[in-house]
Amino acid sequence: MKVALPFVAWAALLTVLAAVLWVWSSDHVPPAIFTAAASVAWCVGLYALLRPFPRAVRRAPDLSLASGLVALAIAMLLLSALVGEWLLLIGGGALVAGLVWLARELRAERRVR
Amino acid sequence: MLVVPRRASLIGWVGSTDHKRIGVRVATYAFGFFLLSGAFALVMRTELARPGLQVVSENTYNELFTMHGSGMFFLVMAPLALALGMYFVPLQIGASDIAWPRLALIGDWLIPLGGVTMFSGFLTDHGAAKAGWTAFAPLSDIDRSPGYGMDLWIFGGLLATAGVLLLAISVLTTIVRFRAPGMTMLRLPVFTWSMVATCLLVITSFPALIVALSLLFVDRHFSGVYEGASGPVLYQHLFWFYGHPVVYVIFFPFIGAVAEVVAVFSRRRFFGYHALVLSLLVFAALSMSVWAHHMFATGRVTNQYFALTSTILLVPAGVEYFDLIGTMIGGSILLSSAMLFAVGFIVLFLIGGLTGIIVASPPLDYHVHDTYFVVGHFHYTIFAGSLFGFFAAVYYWYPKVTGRMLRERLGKLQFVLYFLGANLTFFPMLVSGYEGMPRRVADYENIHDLSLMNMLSTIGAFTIALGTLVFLWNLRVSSRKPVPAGNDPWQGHTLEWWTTSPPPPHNFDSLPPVRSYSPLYDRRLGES
Repeated sequence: MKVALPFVAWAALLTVLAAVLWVWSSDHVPPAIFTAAASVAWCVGLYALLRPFPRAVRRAPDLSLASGLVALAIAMLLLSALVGEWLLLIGGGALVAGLVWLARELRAERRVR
Repeated sequence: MLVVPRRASLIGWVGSTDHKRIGVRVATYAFGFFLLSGAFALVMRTELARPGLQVVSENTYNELFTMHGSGMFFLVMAPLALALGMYFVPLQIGASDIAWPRLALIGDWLIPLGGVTMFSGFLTDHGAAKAGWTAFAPLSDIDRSPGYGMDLWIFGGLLATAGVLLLAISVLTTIVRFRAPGMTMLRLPVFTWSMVATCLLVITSFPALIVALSLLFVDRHFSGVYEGASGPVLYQHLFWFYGHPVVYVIFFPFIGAVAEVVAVFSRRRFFGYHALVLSLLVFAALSMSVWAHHMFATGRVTNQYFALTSTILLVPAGVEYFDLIGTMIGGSILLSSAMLFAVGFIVLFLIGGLTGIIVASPPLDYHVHDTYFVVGHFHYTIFAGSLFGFFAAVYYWYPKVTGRMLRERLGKLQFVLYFLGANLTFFPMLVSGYEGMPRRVADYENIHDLSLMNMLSTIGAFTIALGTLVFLWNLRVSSRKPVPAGNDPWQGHTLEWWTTSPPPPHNFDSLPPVRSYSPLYDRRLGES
């Protein structure tokens, strides 16, 4: 609970500020955006509240080229909206390959535990 | 923790999930984008030195100021802030690694990919984006900003913002879950607390920019999302909901670093720790509620609310300044390069903050809106403030990262050039803006001594460039003729100074007991 306290307090503060804006503003857009952000802050608080501490011994990867491939694939997929379908196909393929590679990395990591 | 020997290969460098390597990588390419975006500023200042068009066309000038601002925000300052956190937060809390290292690595890759995408606009037919770093609708729509340059800017912004967001998620989760035994939340070092505030801001505000830019792309190519009377206002709300908090994203980590520097070089424990922690959290929450003070001139926002919250920001800011000065009072101050940059940060950010009061007040803002006053104000906060904080951090932590010392004389020379240069560049902007010089213009009339003010700003900009060259020279000297730093050259207070310089892959072989936010200071006190 002590860990989550600052995050929950922060989310509460955002909620109060958003509530005041709901009362004060005649336009619904600004308080709606602010409320959405406050909701994200509550999610952070909830995560801090519920998430247990990790085990004392952790296995961490030293290298992960799969992560780089996933990032590259995301960029290619985005740019394909400008460049054309061929980049969409390459980006999609790279994303699938990257995710499969990531899954293999995670499986290997679990096997070492 | 599985310890695998470091690989010296290129693949080992680019694919490493070690938080220290990710931090150094992000800082390195952010500094590269700083040099590029800074070079654009020099071209702009050369153009503005005299009235009339001498160096670039108006079209090129528009591209330059757009890419300068975008580069500095998306690719330099926000990544630099997170790079510091990525490197030092696990070390300060006694963790052996970070949470979700693969997520951080994806973020690390997305930022330079975003940068390359954004700057590749210069290679397209219509050139790079030229709608300013804010890309306000309808200036950024397909009719007013035709060509791929604007689209590449949108995608570059999306990738870089997503990258910073992923880094922030990783850093915050590390703080929540991976603290060493005894490292309670109220024993977190000041810098780590500043990263808590930073990451909270990133996680809650950056998604707004992702939405704004995605809708901008849809607006340009599919349907008019930002059309009509309310469309441009909607874009501004979404943009500034990111655009104002990002100023604090690039402020908090550096005030945290400055606080560490001030405490260590005053040879005192940080004064007012609990007040600072509280003020950081309140400051962060309030800074989420002030975004529409950028929109007073639209006449479509609740002025009272946003003016009030913007003014209340002074209270937590005052607490932080009080704590920083309180730490120095009675201390045995050592004026090292790091400390000089820290003091420079405190002085110059104060000017940025005080001029902020003017733009936070609607009637005064109406007078200076879209003038060089605003440019001077935010450069005092971002360049003269945060970048001084960054260099304080660099001179303080460089020995830990590399195991080598930077040269103090060159550091002090850089400080003098930066301090003179920053004031010579940005103070005349406040004057010329108050006299009515509009921002984002390549040419101006020579009235109210605007020519003199602009010439002074140009001289100042080149003085800053000279200071940057001195820093690069300092890096080269440190690399060519290394002076070993040892584990703790400054008698630091926090856990990163307990381990070797540079730290091993697993960070620590052992940890001292943690009984406060400055465990090494406690230990030294116990020994003496």
